[in-house]
Amino acid sequence: MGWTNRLLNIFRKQRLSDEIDEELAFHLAARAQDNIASGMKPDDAQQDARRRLGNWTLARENAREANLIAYSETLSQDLRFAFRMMRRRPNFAAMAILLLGLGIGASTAMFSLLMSAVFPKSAFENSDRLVFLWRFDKTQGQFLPRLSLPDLLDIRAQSHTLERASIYERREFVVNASGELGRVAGFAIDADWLPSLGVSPASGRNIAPGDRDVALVTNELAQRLFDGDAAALGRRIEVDNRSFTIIGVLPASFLFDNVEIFVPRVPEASARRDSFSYYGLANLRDGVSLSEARAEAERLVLGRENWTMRIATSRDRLSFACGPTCGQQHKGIWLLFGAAAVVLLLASANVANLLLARAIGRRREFVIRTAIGCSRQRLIRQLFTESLALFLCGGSVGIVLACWFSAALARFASAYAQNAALDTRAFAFSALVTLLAAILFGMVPAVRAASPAAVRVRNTARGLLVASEFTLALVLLVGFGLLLRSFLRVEAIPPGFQPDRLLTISANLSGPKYKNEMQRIAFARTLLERARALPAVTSAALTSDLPLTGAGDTRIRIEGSPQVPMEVRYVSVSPNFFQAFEVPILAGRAFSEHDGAGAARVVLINETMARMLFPAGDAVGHRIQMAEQPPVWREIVGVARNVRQRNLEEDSRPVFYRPYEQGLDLGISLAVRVRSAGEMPRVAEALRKSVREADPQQPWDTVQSLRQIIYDSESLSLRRPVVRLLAVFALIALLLAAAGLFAVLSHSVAERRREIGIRMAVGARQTQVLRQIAGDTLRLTLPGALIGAIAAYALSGLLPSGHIGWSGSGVFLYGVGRSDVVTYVSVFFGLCCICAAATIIPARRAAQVDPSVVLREE
Amino acid sequence: MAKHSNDRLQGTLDLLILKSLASRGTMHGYGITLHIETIARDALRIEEGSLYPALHRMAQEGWIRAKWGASENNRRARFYSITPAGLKQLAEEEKRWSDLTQAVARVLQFA
Repeated sequence: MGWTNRLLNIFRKQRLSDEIDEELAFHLAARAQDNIASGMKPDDAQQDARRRLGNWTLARENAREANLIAYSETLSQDLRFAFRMMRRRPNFAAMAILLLGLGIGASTAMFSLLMSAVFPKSAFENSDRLVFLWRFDKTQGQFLPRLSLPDLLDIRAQSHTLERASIYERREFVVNASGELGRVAGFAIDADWLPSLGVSPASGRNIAPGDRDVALVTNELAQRLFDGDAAALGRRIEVDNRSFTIIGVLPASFLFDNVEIFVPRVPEASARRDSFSYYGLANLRDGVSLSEARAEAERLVLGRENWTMRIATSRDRLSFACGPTCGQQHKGIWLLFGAAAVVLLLASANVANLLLARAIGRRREFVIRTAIGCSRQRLIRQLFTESLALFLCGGSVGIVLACWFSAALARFASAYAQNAALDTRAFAFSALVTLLAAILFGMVPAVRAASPAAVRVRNTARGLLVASEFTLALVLLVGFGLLLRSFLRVEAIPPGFQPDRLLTISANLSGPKYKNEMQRIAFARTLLERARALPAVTSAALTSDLPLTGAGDTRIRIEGSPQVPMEVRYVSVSPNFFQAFEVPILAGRAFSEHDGAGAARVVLINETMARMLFPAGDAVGHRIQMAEQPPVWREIVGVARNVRQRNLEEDSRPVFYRPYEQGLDLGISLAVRVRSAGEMPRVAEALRKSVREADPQQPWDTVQSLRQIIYDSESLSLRRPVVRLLAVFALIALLLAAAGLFAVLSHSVAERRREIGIRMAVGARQTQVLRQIAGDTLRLTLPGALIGAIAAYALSGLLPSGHIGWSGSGVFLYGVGRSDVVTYVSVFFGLCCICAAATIIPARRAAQVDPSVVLREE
Repeated sequence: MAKHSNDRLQGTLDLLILKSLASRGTMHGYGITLHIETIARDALRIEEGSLYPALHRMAQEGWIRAKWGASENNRRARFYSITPAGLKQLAEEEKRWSDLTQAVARVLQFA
């Protein structure tokens, strides 16, 4: 009968009470009757019966409870009581709820971010059947996602484990829709490509076998080109100067390697087996396991010398897709993970702290309740409910804050937060941790509610909590400080040129018009002339590779030197590049207008190259040869100061410059120095128009300032989100620790008001009282801070120093040691400030204690 | 469902009630009180009111059955009787009790 019966009893509570009363009344009457029968006076008989029965109410309540689902009955009662308690002490409730919310919110947002970065979700319907055909290169020992076309065709024809195998190739298209040019990444795909992903176009149709000159576009591209997908269907666009009809638009959610346009793959006759430029994907046949498919794939390419085939899942692919920096990015992510965990711990510790404080404050209540017959179990249950009520409120606040934090993260650190949807697992984890803290510490008072020893233990526990909060906060602060200092150091690195008021626009001359180097050079000359003629432009220069964007590599030989060819970077520039970018010439001369196509081949080399190849300082006059057909000797006419070509931290590798008229590849950037900063927007617009007019068919990137390029360089852009996020977390951590300190100090002052009053009455001065409070602060924070400093030093060993060129990560130290004095001193100073702030109010309260008032209390 | 088995005193009360009902058949609460009183001869003093929560709880557990009926002098009273589940529970409680008393006896003997 168990609980159904009890559940029913809830609906007849009144009758139940009446019945129990009747039963007890019978007991009383029967006892009294027996008493009279044994010779007592009626009054005495009644009294004796009452005495023997004991506490009627308690008996009734307990009997009643036994008949109900006890908890459900008392739960609502306890909840009502819990909310009443909250209303009575709104400060406590607000504080606890806010702390819980903050802890849950901040860590949920952060953990969600990390979950999406570490365990990316596959966007495709049939991702469990979707596989990718990869190559495992035995010599390099790594997976590579591309195969040769003949191999892919063979596999497609011979495989029994795969179906809907399709081959695709990544290409960059120049798309021209109604006069607007743009470079768009695209795939040449087979008809089976979309079906094997489990995707069908949102409107229009898929590519059919035999289709030519048709294109599928993503929703985003359709929006960009034609404002809306309905308008896009059937429209004609020019792709690489051929006309294509748009036959379908993909769903808005579709995202695959940021590719936006899909055209049918044209069968290619002359594909080679040693050119690995095609991707393959397929579905596993029904009933075929991944390991069967893998075994078959290896069988099919048996005997290949350097590689074998590998069937990869979409999960493999997603973790591969973030590229070689992935592992490094994860390092940054794990660092932030740690920071989020610290915030969560701090919030939990503070909640625990608050609950302990309240337990001490409420010990009188518990003593009374125990004295009038409240069982330990009942007390625990009530405290449990109170913790739960607090937690529920805090959790709701947490969800709201998590949304807000998540949005802020996405804005703050877009490098990490492409996919900042809240993760339920992350929320559950954060919620669980805080819930445990709330319940654990919320119920402490039920354990030994009254004894003074318990109070002392609890005060010690609170002290320990505050100390550990400072330990955690300090670790976070030091980590943040070190990385901030590294960031500032990197930012302060001179890039080797003067970036102020420099605007630039870049293009890739990949079109058929510029197949020939002479055509590119002629176009570049036109561009330069037009740019120089722009108003408010003081100089215009051209370079194949802007500073901080990298450059092409080649192997050079030095005339008359037995040295093996060495790898160097090379950049093509216009003669006035060094003057326009204000790069000093250290030896020899800069290029001049005479170093044209017909003149003798000349180069400038950078400092590093001069130092490496000609330590005697006699670089000028030597001749070098780069890897080209036919090889030509180029004379070194000067040495230029190093420009940071790849990123800010990397002290330049060897670079040589050649006049663009003596060699120009596909990439060009036009740069103009503007007369004054105020004229930059106008010049930017004029520059954009000018290059467009020079060749309306050629797509260009947007105009950027060199300052912007420095700002966006990976040295800074990878570090910035880490530093910003850490700043937020360190601040929250510091505030939480300070709040904990404040709570403990205020409480100890309130508790010792009498003591302080007596001491002042017998002659203690205010300064002595204040000194005592200050002593408390030191006692609470100093040990924590010291341990924190040691822990921070130990943990900072995990932050390797190095530069982005090698690491691709934003968590590396640069220019600061792990024992950086400035960091530790400023963290310590910050800590002092925050401690002082947390101490001021309790200290003032203590100093204002009026002995005459305090001593008269109670 | 022996959620109070670690609570010795309550377990003892359960044991006494079950034993009384097993040996004497149907009784009302006051009758059980008298029975325990007579047998234990004031050695075991219970607060009589605390009997009723225990009775109600045991009724809910299904160890005893409760029924309203007429008392010896025709007053409405609630009568309790033991069920098969209650008999099983009684056996368990008796065993636990004798285990405990033996253990305590040994301790007293050798400690």
